Amino acid sequence: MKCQECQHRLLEWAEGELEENLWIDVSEHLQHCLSCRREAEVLARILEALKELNETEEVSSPPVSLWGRLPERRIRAIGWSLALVATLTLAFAMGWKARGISLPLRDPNQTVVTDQQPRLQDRPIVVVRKNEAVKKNPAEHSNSTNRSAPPKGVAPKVPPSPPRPSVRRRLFPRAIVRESEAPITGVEVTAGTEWVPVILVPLTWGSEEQQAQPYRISVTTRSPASGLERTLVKEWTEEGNLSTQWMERLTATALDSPISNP
Amino acid sequence: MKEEDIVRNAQRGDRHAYEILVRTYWSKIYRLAASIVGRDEAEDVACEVFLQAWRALPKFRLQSSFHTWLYRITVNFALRRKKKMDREEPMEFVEFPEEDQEPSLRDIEAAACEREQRSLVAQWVQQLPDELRTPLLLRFWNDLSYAEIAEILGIKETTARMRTASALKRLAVKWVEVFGEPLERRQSG
Repeated sequence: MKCQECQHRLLEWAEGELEENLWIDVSEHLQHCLSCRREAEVLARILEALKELNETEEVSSPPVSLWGRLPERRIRAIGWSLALVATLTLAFAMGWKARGISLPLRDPNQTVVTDQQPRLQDRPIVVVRKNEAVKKNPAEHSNSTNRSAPPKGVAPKVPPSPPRPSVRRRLFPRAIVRESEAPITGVEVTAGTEWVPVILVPLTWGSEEQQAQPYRISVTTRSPASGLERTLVKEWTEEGNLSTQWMERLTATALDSPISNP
Repeated sequence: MKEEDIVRNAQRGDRHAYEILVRTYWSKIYRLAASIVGRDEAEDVACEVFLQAWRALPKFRLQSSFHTWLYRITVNFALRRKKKMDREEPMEFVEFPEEDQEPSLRDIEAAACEREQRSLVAQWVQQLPDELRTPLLLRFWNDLSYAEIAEILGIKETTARMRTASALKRLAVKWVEVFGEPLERRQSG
């Protein structure tokens, strides 16, 4: 090995990074070459001094103030913010939904059935119309008045959809509850054969962008003779004929009198 | 617990885990900072490094080892600080006076003691340019491999080796200037 190559590999030799064969070659060269041996010894002394310098230099502990300067991790703040937004969104959505579920928000106007219509296929047909207390436009009023008494034996027709008011689009549509403006006709009630007063509570609900399409109609009939009270609640029905099962229960007065055959 | 687990906990905001990391690497970061900006600024730089690392920890992907990442932050931050310091007040290195370029035999004998040697070596290290001093100290003070040094400094591994060797060469020249050839002294002594 020549001096140039030896000096080139001296650092690796001093650090013990040379392969065994090369390490032996460099070591043998150093034994015979005074110049390279001097360089190797200087190098070894400097490395030793560096090492000692590193070991002897005292380093103080981290200052106590460092711990106080560590800020709360931002990712946590982001996480909490996201959680808060998610919670508020969920709460808003649930609240909206809950408002829809918890209808009605106030006592609705009532429509009382006063007409008893002839039977159709051995079932009474009760035509209901709105109470005068319910606001409606004059045209609709006249229509509903005209349709309030359909011809004998003819099933009531489906009323036309009410005109939708123009609604300004909102980012978060507000749930609304209002009385139905549509003529409530053609409700087929599979009640008993006897005449019963029917209380109809027409309500519509939905969002501002879904105007009054669904009905929530609650019909309660009570037979003065038998005391049998029948309640019909139909939600989100299409406009038109309404046919559903009655839920029956006896009122307090009915308990005192025998139930007549419905 | 493995260091990787501690780092992951610290990433999730566990301050206790991060305190373990700070205490583990404080002295190494302090020394590395001191080698670049001097002891007076070392503690401040080390604190800033650990604060920066704490803030940046969530972005650390553990693709390299934690200490390599930490050293990279230290080197970058300390070099920026040093540039700023140099602009404001150029760092004064202790240079040997002209008349001491060839020290007397008495001076050489006095400097022969290890303490003096270390002191001189420390001065010479400080006088090295940053691009030579940093790889040298990362290698011999922080026991990093050349591959790690290359990753920290953003240079090739061979460049890291060459710069380290070049730094040692300069120190060796200084050494010989002050203490003479070791074998010659032995022969002469």
